[in-house]
Amino acid sequence: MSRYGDLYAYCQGLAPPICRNLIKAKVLEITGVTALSIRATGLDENLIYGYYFSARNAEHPAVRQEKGPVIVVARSLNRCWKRFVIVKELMHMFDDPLEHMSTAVDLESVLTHFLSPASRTFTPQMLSEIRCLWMALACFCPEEIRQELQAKRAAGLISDRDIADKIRIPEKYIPNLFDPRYKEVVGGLIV
Amino acid sequence: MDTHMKAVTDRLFGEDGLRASNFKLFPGKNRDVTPEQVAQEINASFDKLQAGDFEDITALEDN
Repeated sequence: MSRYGDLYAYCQGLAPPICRNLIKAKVLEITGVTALSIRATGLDENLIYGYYFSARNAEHPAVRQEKGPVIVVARSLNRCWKRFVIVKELMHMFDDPLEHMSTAVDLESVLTHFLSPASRTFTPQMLSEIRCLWMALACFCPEEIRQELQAKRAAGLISDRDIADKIRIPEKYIPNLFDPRYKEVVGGLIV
Repeated sequence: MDTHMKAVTDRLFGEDGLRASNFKLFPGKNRDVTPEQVAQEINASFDKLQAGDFEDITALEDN
């Protein structure tokens, strides 16, 4: 089982709404990273909700006070959005080195892809962005509960708004939770 | 390379910068923006971090 598979297995035993600190603690345990910082600051939500970085230059002023990787999130986001962005960025601690964004070319390529829907370029960096979104989604909703919600949703007994409130993630991603490909996608992530 | 893109890539990956081994992002709600605009915003946020304009929410319980 992959390292993410260990995290996924752990999350199956938790009850929503799952605190992102439980997910964070487990990610640190699995990866062997001893510390990670999460910062909220002013970010224009039109442009960017948040980001993750790990710096090798420990003496740089931006990170001198940090220990380990840093996640930065827009302070204007509501609770559901903040926790979803944070956990999605946490998933990048499982990135393979080939997926690391560590050059200007990498960054330009990913930004171009994000902002150009017709782009056909799927670099390893871009694929990891997509993958980590699904990884985060699966952390927030244990499969047994997801299937219960799926049945209720299909019967019209619960709305996407209600489900979003229950598991405390943005309503925008609830349809992904019930995408016909969900089991196939998540199944491929945990092996 | 545009001005802000060069500034942020120097900051992130340059020898005098963070020398980031990995940088990943969650894009904002508006996809009708340019990479240069996003680069400018990332760079501005690093200025804020350096100036102490942030809240430490590492341990915040959010459920």
